[in-house]
Amino acid sequence: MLAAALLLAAEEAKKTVNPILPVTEEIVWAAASFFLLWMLMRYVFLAPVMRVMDEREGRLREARAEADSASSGADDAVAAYNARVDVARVEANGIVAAARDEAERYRARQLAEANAAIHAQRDQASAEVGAAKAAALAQLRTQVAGVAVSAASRVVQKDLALDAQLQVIEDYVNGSIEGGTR
Amino acid sequence: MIIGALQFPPIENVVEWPAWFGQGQAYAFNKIAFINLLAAIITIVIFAIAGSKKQLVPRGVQNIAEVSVQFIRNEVIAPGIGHGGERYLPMLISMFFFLFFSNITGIIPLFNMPATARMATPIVLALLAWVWFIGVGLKHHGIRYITGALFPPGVPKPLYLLVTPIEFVSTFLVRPFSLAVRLFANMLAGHILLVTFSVLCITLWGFKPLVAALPLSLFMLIALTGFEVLVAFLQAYIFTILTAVYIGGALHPEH
Amino acid sequence: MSLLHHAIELASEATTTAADSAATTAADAKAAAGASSAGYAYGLAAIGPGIGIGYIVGQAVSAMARQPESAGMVRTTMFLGIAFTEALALIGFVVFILLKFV
Repeated sequence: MLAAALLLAAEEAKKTVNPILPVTEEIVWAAASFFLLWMLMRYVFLAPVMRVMDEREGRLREARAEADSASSGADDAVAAYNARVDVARVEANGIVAAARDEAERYRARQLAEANAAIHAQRDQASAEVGAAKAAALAQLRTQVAGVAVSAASRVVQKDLALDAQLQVIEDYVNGSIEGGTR
Repeated sequence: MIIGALQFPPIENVVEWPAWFGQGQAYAFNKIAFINLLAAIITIVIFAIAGSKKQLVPRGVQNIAEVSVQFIRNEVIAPGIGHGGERYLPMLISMFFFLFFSNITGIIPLFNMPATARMATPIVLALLAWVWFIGVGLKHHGIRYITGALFPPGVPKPLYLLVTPIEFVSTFLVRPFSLAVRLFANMLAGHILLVTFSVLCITLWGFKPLVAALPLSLFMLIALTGFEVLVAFLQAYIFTILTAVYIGGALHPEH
Repeated sequence: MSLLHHAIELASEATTTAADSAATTAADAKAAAGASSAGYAYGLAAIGPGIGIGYIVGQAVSAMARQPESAGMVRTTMFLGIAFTEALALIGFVVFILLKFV
């Protein structure tokens, strides 16, 4: 009985099959399963997943665009700030230059005033010096003339006319001075 | 019975499964059919859950679905089809998931059988891809698609004697065949490798003089299991991207 | 499941080998020839694709090293090239299965 069953099983197992060739029922089930899967995926189950992904992508794109616009706004603000800073800098430079000009002018004015004052003082002083020199010279000249006339009158034992001698001396001195300076 | 000898089971015991019901009918439901159905159902459940959640920050199942959609978009459609490929996303993503789950059952305990190690699933999908890319070519370019593929421009006239048969065979005959055989043979080879090392482990366990070699065999078994995960993913990916490349070739035949 | 089949197979072989040993010798000879030629077939079929895949991956690695920014595109193309090249080895594997088990 057992041997017969084993024989039967062995007969069934020994039945030559080609392991390469497909079997009808497996083709049927494979095709049925795949078409079931394909149709369900195509018309029912893939769409929601894709929609979620598209939604997320859209949201990402929106967020990115928002971020881009925000960053471009920030860029604008930075540019405006820079422009204002530039204006302020130009203004400050102008103020500084004006102040410098003013200071320069003031300094020049002061310098000129000081120079003028110095010149005036120097002129005055040289004039005073010249006057004093002339006075001293005149005084010296009269004294020298007096001395010379008196000495001459003593030499000649005769009173000389002081005024005439003075004129002579005057001429001589002037000539000698001119000769001396010459 | 030979004690201790390595006895590899006959191939039909490794790849054929008895029907659960409907034995002998066209609708006979065996493990392969169950895996196929399960692959479809798991994919549908993943996308149903992912579609019903709609969180702004995806997590869990929603993440899986969205990452796979991104993956198919960026890694399959973008290089394979180019522009205008978005409308083939449902088919390609179904294809990828169906094949991946059919492949991965080869290393999941209690299944231990990739559904694609039987020719049925690969041939169905390969024929579908074949019909699909020819259909796309005919729809977008009419009969000029066929003539353009058979008589590529820029070839001297006499050479058409040589080129046209080659183009016909390589484009319209070999493509579905190679697509199916690539997937099928990869998965069958992986399955047979796993079976071989499992049988070796069992034999060594029962054969005391060589039981010291058992860890080596077990290590190989574990390493191959890890390798099969990679193969399961890679073959699903390659099948999908080749389908995309064929569709892209039919859509933009000038490239 | 396959193990159960396996056990049944072994048991049935034990009961039936004596009965039709003469009938099985021809089949055994065919199986032996098939098995050995299957080994040759797969071994020969694996040479070319092995070289080809090695070349593809090597070139792809050097391309990626030279231009890391285009690594994604290179990888996709590499997988496609591997898939096309590998097909030959896989056809060899199918031939192996046909010779060995059918």
